[in-house]
Amino acid sequence: MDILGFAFMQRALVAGALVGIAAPAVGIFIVQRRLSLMGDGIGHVAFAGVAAGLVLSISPILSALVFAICGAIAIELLRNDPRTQSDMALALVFYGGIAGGVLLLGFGDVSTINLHSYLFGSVVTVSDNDLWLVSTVAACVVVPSFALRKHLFAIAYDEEVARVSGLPVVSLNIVVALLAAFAIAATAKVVGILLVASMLVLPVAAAQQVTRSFRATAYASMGFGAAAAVGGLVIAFYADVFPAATIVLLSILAFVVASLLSRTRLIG
Amino acid sequence: MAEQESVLRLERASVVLSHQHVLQDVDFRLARGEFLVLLGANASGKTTLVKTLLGLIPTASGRAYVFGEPVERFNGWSRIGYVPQRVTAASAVPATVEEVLMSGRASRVGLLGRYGREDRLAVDRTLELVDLGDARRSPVARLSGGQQQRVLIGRALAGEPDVLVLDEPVASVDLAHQESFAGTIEILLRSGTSILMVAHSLGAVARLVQRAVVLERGRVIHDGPPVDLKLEHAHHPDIGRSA
Repeated sequence: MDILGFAFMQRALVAGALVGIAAPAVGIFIVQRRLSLMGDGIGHVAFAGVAAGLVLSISPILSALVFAICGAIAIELLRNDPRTQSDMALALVFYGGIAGGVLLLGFGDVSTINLHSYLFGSVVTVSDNDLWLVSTVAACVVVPSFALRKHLFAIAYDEEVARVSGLPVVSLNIVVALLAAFAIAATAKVVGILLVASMLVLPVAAAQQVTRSFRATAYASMGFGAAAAVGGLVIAFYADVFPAATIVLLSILAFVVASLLSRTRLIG
Repeated sequence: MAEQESVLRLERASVVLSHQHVLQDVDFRLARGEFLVLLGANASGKTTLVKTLLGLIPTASGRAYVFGEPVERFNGWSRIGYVPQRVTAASAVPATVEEVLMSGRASRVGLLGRYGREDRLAVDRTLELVDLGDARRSPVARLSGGQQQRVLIGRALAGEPDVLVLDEPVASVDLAHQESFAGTIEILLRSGTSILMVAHSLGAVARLVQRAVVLERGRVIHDGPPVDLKLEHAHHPDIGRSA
């Protein structure tokens, strides 16, 4: 049984590799700012977006993107408001997103199968159109993350000093939130809304076990992300298990192995 | 004009944080080329004063000026190097000494620009200045507390600032490195850098200090040559105590 003989698997592998590269490209700045749960916050809002897409019969990836962008900006603005705390900002967006999504679903006749495919991922149902959309959105994440890396690093490393040095901290934080929203919209179809943020965080967590520099961590995490996505799909294909869960568990396995390797000082 | 001579200035500044007066009616001035040490016990308002000067904390009344301009309108921030008080220089994602020092020049390159030869040379010079040349490719998290402190000083110096603001920079630095830190300060003063340093005690830099300002409960209780300070010690035993 040749895995590449199936068009749907070809599309799935390309989509998986693309989001595997794109998600950690922005995820690394989120991890560095110790905001690993931000992806989940945006993901929950993206759920409301998927619901809106299904009810209105438009592309759920596109509607998830629009909602994720709004959620990302909301989190960033709430975080900067001295009256709210970061975790409170996330909680507001988390529950608002899920409740909004459930409410929206009530307005339409949405099949459970369709909904499930976005909750738990359905990378094997990626169509040609989806693939174009995922590729475009992934490029919209990788290119700015790379181009702005000097400034994003300076801010993620020390926001206060970056502010004093005259960098536009608030605007660039919103840019990171937007990039995260794009990454999440692209990833939702591959691993599902419930696991979407794992692709932003886990490859970075695995990579930093064996790296010494930020630059190496950035490249290694994109490598880990792509490898977990492709590896997870291949295993899922032959073992006939859920691809999304396999990809995420493989990422966690990569983290465990990398952390054991670094502890025994075989690397780094 | 006196105003042009001062690089950092507070004018009758009061700061209220969580309904408490942290600074009250503070007049403060750092002159061009001067080395001023800001002393005071814990919670006397030293860090708040620094952050107010840098525009990180707004004043409830009074004004802050940078190079004679109101802080909120000032935009020549690459002239200021800031070393905040930090327990560690390590971050969630690994970064090398060189990467952190280079980030001190981020605001000097355009948003889409790249670091050039000039940036690399400035980082090379700074690595020598803070004595971290051998550690340039080491992950910051693996360095000692004193070395990490020098990384943060190096990040501020990599931007080649005209004014250096240091918040307790030698808190975790051993005596030998305090001496080398004093050497760095001496070099900077000779090149005309104005320096404001927050400290618990004067330590190894005592011989270089031109003026000392002492805060107590948000008010200035001494402003003058550091020699006068010895008299103050008798009344304020906290001030001279080393960290």
